[in-house]
Amino acid sequence: MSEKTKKLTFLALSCTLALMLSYIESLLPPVVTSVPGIKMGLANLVIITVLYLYGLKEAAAVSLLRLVMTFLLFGNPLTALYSLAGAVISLLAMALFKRLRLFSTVGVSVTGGVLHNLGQILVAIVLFDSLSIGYYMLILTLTGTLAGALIGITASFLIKRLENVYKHHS
Amino acid sequence: MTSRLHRARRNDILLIASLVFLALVGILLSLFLRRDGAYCVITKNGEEVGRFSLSADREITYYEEDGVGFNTVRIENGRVSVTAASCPDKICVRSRAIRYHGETVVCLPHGLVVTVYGDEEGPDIIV
Ligand SMILES: [Zn+2]
Repeated sequence: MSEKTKKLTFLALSCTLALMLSYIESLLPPVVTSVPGIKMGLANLVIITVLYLYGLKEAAAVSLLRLVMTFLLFGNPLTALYSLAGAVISLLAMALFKRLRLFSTVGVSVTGGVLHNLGQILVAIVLFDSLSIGYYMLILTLTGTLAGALIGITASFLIKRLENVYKHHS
Repeated sequence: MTSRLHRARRNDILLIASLVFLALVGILLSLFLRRDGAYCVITKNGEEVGRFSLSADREITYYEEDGVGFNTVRIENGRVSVTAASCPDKICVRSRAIRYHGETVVCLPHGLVVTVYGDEEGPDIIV
């Protein structure tokens, strides 16, 4: 297989996997019942793996495609807005922290998880014009940190396994 | 190389520990400092549509512009909750009844927010 075909196959597979994780997450009970639509971001497992194996551009492409597909399949424009804000802010933060080399994959994933929630809460505050919603950021920091850590640990195993096959730059 | 990985791992743990610590302190503080609510404000798409004391039981239904979609808000025993709604996700109905200053129930599909406030007039934010 050529390098390009291999990469495209991998990214397509990542999209599907991210979509499946989003679907599974939609079946789980909400993290914060009072603010609907807030998600932990299980799909981040795929996004961070792509970020480490290929880079920001590829991770952004997978993330965006996942968002569009989720919207088309079980779409609700408001939840899409939440997901978009969460996805953009968490991916940018992860790319930045990965570059800073302060943390390992686990720490990078934690910043992604927490900021994913922050992005969604900010959208909810603007959308509902209600600052008191910001109060839920406390509990979301807790769940975001723990989810981010678990996702980061899983991702670091995945990356270790896959980097011999897929990593295109050393 | 190994020392950088080592340092990164240590930073990871520091990051996780401080985030968990901050969140827990914040949650504990908000539990200790929380005040009983005195009244609730109901907004629809950011505009206030109702303001009621929590001391008198009542039930109000808010209709969507189409006249079909609705949310029923009930005040009972000093708590307020959404007891019935036509929204597809029913998350607002499943949310528990709220009674403390700053708590909210949100119906995302209908843009409806119920917020409880304490004694002082006007909204102020809890930490
Ligand atoms: Zn609802």
